[in-house]
Amino acid sequence: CAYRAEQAPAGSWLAQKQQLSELENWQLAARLGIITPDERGSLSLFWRNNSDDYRLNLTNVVGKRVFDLSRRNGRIELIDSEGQRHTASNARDLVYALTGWDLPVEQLADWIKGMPGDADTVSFDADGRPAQVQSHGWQLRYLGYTQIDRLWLPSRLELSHNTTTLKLAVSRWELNP
Amino acid sequence: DAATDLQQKLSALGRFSADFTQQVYDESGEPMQTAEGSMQLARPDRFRWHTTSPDESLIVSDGTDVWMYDPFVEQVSIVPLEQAVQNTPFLLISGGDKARWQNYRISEQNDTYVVTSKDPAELIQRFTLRFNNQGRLARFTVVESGGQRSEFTLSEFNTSPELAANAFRFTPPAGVMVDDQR
Repeated sequence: CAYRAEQAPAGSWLAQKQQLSELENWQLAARLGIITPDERGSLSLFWRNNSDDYRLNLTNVVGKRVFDLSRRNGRIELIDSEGQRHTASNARDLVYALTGWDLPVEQLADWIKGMPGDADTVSFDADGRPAQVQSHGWQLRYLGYTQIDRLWLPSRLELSHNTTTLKLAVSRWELNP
Repeated sequence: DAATDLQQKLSALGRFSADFTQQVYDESGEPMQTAEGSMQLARPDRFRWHTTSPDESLIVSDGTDVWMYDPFVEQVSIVPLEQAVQNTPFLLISGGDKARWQNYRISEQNDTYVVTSKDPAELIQRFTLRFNNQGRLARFTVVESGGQRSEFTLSEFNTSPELAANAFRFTPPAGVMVDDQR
């Protein structure tokens, strides 16, 4: 049965959808697995998001930086593992060009909060939270949620597109850090 | 000099086990990722580095080859020891081969040893080791040229650990992809 947001039962995902879309200032630590036909590996991700600005740091198991991707006032910059700086107008293309990984950064900023786009096909789990989403050729599967300050946020997410599969396990969420 | 002191201190730690916490800081000192786990080491060149949280991963060296097991993507990579040396500072700690130290400059500042690579291409700009007054390794830090810093703090230090027979060997569980780079 469909609820209007105000009527949606407290704590239900529909009731929090507005809150989720307004949540722009957050930080998380996660494991990011990248699986492609010729490569499998996982890295430790730190993601600081502040409305359109962000900083994604990927570090390997011994603590060495793989890359730092940031967007500040519209300027996108990636610092690679050798400390070289690269800039571009599109983060996904920049990451792909330098690493061969398909990382849809701007869309992931919403998906990782469990926010599908309005035009996406969404199926919900028993608690009314997004379970599967189809968006622009990406197939998302939400495999776990955690509640932070009464807000449901994903803890495990898998997304695939063509031959790339990304696995995310979020170990720490911080809202309005 | 600092180099011989450091090597003496390390060779005095022929075998040990310890728990570790790892904290990664960005270039302005902001904390980012953290991790915890336990390690075992037996010179020369054999060690087990088991990260247990927030996600499991395991690095095992039998003195010849290094296994890097990543359960998150169900894969183990195997590389020859020498190839692993550049990107695993632990091998400087466990290293028996004196020659390996030739390509590093070592200095000491208030009982912290600072190891810098003579090879400008090496990404680790600085690697520091601090010992406590019982000569036990208390902390080591990897600092990259970009300023990112990863600090490993050791605790539960045991200089006579009982090591399992297969402590420094790794057998991939069923279904795990093997990426053998030897």
